Amino acid sequence: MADEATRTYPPDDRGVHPPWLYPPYTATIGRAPHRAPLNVSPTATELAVPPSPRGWPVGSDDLTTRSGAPPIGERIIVAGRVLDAAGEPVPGAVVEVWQANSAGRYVHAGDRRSAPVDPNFTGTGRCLTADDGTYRFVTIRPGAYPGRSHHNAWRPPHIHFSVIGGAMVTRLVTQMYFPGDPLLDRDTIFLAAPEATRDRLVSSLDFDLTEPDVSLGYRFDLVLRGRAATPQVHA
Amino acid sequence: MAGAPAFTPSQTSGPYVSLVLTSVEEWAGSPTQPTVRLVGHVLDGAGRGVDDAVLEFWHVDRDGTCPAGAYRRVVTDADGRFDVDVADPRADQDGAAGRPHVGVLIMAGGLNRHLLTRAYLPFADDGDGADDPVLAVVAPERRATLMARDEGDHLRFDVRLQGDDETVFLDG
Repeated sequence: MADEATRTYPPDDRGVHPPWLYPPYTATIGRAPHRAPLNVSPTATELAVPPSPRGWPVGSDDLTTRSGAPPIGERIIVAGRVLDAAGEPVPGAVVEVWQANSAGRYVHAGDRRSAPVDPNFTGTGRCLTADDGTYRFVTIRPGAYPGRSHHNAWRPPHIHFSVIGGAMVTRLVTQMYFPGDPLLDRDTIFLAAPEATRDRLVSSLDFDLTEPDVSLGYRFDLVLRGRAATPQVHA
Repeated sequence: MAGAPAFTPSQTSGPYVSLVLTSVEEWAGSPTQPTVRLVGHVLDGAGRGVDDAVLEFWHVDRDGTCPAGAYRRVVTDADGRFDVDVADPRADQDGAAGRPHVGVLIMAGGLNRHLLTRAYLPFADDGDGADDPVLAVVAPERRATLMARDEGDHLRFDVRLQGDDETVFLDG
């Protein structure tokens, strides 16, 4: 059993992440492991840094230019920084996003809801963080859509984020929400996150990011799990 | 300061993760070393296949480096089945501490956070794995959940999310 004091990374739970089992989000009931994960100090395998991409086709970070015509929806810019737990930028991180269209529909065979597909929107994007840890996507605001967790469940508009930054042990998959959304207090996926950490999932409207006459801007920073700090004694 | 670290909480990848988290060959490259085929199912507590789960595989060499092409990603089909050629870690890990293995990360709808585990290649001897630093802390009766089994032209590695024969997951 790994001694906490000797781990390169502290156990990743500590009240930051939602528990695997959160019964109001009913899909967790049959999928959450019953046993706690084995406490082992990360080895070279978990500390591995995956190969960096050379890059993607121009426009991979602009979700509004996938066809000849723009998608329907409120144009937005979503930008921010990928940081480590010490607040240092993580350059070269792979940031991948996916989202519903403005009607709340995904371009996925599994999404059979009646909301319309937008032929000019795939809802997927990729970019790499710059040297200062920044990323930036151009997209449209996704729509709310009916959830599956319970009767009359509605998912608040959100953008899914996947981040590969630093090591595999700091891998992060999460969702970004919009400020002031009354659906948040009813969403069992959002509510699965501990109350103290939920506001880290909500972007902020930022007029430094807007493009006047064109697009509103939302800021969303992602902070990756950090290495263990020097042990300190708390009073 | 006491309290939870300030990092961003996880949220489920949801059922539509395969829209973008597909093959990484385009940017992470293809294996240049020999490959082994891993075939398996991701199964829920009732033994049902979990569709649209994304699995990531990788390994490191003796120096702790993830070789080009050693990072792979695959999506499960409607039956929860995956089939992926991964770089064979055995040559790269020859002489390294522990038994040859690949790291495995699993995300799916219903998982509020991804799960971390590893798949060991079949042992070349009749050892029980107790000489491996991770297997050594796994109860002997649960070690089999981390072993890829030889099935001729491929290795089988099933991931059981929940239940009596639940896969050992790591808080890595």
